[in-house]
Amino acid sequence: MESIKLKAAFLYPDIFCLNGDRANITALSNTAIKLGVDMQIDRINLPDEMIDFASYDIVYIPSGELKYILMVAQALRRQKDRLQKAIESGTIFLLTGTSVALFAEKITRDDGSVYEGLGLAGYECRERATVYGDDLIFSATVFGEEMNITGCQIGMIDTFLNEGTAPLGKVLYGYGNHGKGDEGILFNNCLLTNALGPVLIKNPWLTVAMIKQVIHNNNMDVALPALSWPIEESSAKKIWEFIENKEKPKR
Amino acid sequence: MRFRIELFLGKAIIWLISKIAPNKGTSFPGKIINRLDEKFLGQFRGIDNEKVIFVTGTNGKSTLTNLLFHILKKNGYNVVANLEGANQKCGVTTTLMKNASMSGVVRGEYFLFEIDERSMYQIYRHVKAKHVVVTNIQKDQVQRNGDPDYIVRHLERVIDKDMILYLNNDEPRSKAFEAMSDDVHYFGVDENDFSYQKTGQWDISMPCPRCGRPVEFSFLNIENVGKFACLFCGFASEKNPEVSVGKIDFTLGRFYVEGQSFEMPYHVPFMLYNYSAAIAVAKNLGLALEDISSAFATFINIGGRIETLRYGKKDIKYIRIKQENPETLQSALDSVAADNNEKVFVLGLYEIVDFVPHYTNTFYAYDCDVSKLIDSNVKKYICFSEYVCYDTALRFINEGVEPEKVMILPTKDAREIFKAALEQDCDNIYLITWLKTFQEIKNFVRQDNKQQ
Repeated sequence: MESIKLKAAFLYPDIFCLNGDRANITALSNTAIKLGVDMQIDRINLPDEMIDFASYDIVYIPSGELKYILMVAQALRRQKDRLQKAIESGTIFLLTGTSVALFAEKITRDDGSVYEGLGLAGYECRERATVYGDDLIFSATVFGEEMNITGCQIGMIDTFLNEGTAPLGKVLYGYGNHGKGDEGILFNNCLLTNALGPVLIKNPWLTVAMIKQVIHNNNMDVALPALSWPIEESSAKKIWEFIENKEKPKR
Repeated sequence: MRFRIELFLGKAIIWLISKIAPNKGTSFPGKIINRLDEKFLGQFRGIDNEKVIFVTGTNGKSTLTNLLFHILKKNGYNVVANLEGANQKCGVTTTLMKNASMSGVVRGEYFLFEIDERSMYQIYRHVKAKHVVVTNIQKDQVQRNGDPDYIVRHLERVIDKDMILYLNNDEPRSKAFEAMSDDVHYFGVDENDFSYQKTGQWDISMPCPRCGRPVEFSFLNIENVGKFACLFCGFASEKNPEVSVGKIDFTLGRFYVEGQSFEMPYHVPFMLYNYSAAIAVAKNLGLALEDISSAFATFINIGGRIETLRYGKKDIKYIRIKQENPETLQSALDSVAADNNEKVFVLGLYEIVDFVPHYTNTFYAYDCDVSKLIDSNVKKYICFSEYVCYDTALRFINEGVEPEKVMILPTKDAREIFKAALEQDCDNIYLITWLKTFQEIKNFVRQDNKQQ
């Protein structure tokens, strides 16, 4: 059996990481260890730094404030070709929360000003006049595995997909992209979700699916151990129970 | 005439509430009257805008308002203030109704208001303030406030160049308001025994409010508050702020400003910024440092953060937190971590029930550093609450705590929680939860102690 060495990048933790999102990096690292995978994680602090995105198996961009997302989008524009190359070569990108706006074609702020996103997929984001915070549970098929994802959404933007752009999943409870049932965006191996905070801690099955996909991408011949997640499953059950009993918002 | 009738009605509601529920009614009367007349708040007379002080920001508003009130009162001033934390438009309206004559004249030498950062615009339309303190702008109540920049933009709608601003020299978002006024006073805190640096692999700083690149802190006094500099655009803490709390001795409970000694009412790091801000304002209002200092010795904060409950033969030390507020949780965790004796640590994070939709956000716990707590000889972790206890437990397990050391109690029943804590073979017990649950627990303890 081959020894498994993977490489991940954690982008701009000091600028983003608004909602405890750094937990996703420790989740990735801890889950990799449990699976017997050697995961090297590089921390990248500056959007001005040129990055060989294609050299990474996984790139994580945590949630951030729209003001800084616009700044980062502008800084990353000069290495858009590197991002595109990585996406086409199968690098997994995980974007959580408002950072979804980074890959958008267009971002419209609440004051009507319009900004270019990186335009890596067909959708646009519009800043909301008010915040919408709620639980978010959605079903998705991620790298061939069906799963439910449990999280929270602090909606600062509404996201509208162009025809032909696929959502990541279907909302079971919550708001999602703009309250109409679709959640996130899925293209190539890019997973973009409105869920934020410790998504990979609460949903370790997503973490495992990502690592398995990297192994598949690299044509490695390995059998990963089966892991069980009793606490995380209990958490998801409890949160569903809470949602069933709570007063539902009027939208 | 309309204003007088509304004021009479408001005063009648205040009187009625004082008879049936004396502890309530800090904002309800104002809510009713503001509904009747949106412009009511702007019609009080006798308020000199030059003497109006607004205290806003994420953390420390209530304590700072109470401390400033105490300093001014001790120095003989008549101060009108909202001291009970009712800091939205309805709370300010209620305060003014309480203090006004029947004709609507409010007599005071100073008008001191704690102001909710999102409500400042609504209040400022009716009551202008010459003095504005911004304690800090941090992550808090994200369901309401979204992100810090959302709050900054709310405040920017109000702050203008004619205001006297009191800004936190060590907190980048607060200090960034300096560009909006010609009259800025900075307050800060020197490096002290509790100052620290972040050295962990995944520790995070924050974006520079000016250029968006990471800010560097040479030391931190509390989370994201300390001497900072942006190496890209040069935005940084002032080298010599007007007030800097220094020579801090937590053992003696003393610090100095410009050679004047001050007694610390509470010996904890997060209070130092309240002390510093209060001194900056009082000093600029013309009080001598000596007179400000004399008031410090007699200050008692509303609802101190640490309380001890006696149950059976054991003492349970309670530290209050605000939900969805990483800074208060971090301060509470640090207080527990400061005790290196073997301990049982009981944590009750709850679902957020601020307004509909209620939701299960616990991710602010991941903004906190729990490593000091983990290294402080915790024998057992008990995570309770009906719905998010598993998520709370995951916070510790993900940080390396063995799952066997973590007890998960999916309950809000005080008896069960206490039973579990008392069954541990350890007399040193800490409890952290929000005030509502603590009150329920306290009531249970009181009743149970009576029965025994």
